[in-house]
Amino acid sequence: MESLRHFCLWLNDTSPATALRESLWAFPVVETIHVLAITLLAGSIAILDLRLLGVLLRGTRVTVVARQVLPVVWTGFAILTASGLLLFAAEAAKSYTNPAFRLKLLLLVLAGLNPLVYYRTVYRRIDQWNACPKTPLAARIAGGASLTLWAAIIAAGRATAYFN
Amino acid sequence: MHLLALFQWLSHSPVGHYMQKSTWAFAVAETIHLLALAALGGSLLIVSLRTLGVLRQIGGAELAAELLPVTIVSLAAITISGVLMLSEESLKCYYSPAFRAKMAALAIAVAVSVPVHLAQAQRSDEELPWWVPVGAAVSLLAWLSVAVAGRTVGFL
Repeated sequence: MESLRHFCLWLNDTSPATALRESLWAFPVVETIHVLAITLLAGSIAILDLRLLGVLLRGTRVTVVARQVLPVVWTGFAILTASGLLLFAAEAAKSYTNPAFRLKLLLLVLAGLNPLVYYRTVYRRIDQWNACPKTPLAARIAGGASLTLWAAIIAAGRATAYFN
Repeated sequence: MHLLALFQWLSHSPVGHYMQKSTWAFAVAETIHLLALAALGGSLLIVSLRTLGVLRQIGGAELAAELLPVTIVSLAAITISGVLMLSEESLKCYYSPAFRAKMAALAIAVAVSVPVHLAQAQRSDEELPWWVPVGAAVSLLAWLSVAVAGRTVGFL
C-alpha cells in the first residue's frame, strides 16, 4: 500500500489538484455538482431496485423499467465519476487516510459487483419472470443489495467530510 | 406572529435544544436529508423527463401514479430532516441569504410540482393540458434551485 500512498501524495501536490483545493469557488461548485448528480444515479436506480423488489411498477416488465431509468443512471454515473475524481485529486492526501472514504470505495466495489452477478445469473432467465409482479429471490436480493449499497455510499460520502 | 419569532421559538423548543446538544443528531439528519434528496430528485426527474417526451418506455400516467408514493415519502423525509437541521441553527438560517433563496425556490417548486405531478398521474399523453410539460420544466428548474441554494447554506 506504500506505492498507493505515494501516488496519493504525488496527486495531491500536482498543480491542478492544488489549484482546485485552494480555489474559492471551483471546489464548492464541483462538490455541488457531485451532490446533485447523486439524484441522477441513486434516485433513478432505486426505481429499478424497487421494481426488482416487487414494490413499484409491478405491472410493467423489468426490462421496460430498466430502459426507462438506465440512461439517467449512466448519465449520473458519468458526472459522479468525473466530479468525484476531481474532488479526490484535490484532497488525495487527506482521502488516503480517511476511514469513511476507504469504506466508501469498498462499498463502490460491491455496488459495481452486484449488477455483474445479477446479469450473469438470474438475468439470464429474464424471459421467465420479466412480466411477473413477484420476482425470483435472486432478483430481489440484487435489488435490495443495490438499494442498501447506494444508501450506504451516500452516507459514507457525507461522513467523508466529517473525518477530513 | 412575526417570522423571526417562529425561528426563535423553534430554536428554543425541546427539539432545538436536543439538536444543539447532541453530537451526532445533526450528522444523522443531514444524511437522511441527502438520502431523501436522492429519492425525491430521482422520482421527480424520471416523471418530468417522461412528460417532456424524453425516455417514453412506460406510459406517462402509469409512471407518475406509481412514483407518486416515492415522491410523497421522500418529500416527508426531506421536510422533517430539514426542520430538524433548521432547529439547530435557526437564527443563522433566518439571516442567511442562501436559506431565504432556498425557501423562496421551495415555495415555487412545491406550488408548481404538486398540480403537475397529479395531472401527470391522472391523464394520458393525449389529454395532457399544455401547462403540464411547461410546469414539469419549471418544476425541475425550481427544484434544482432549491438544491443549489441548500448546498450554499452550508458554505456561507
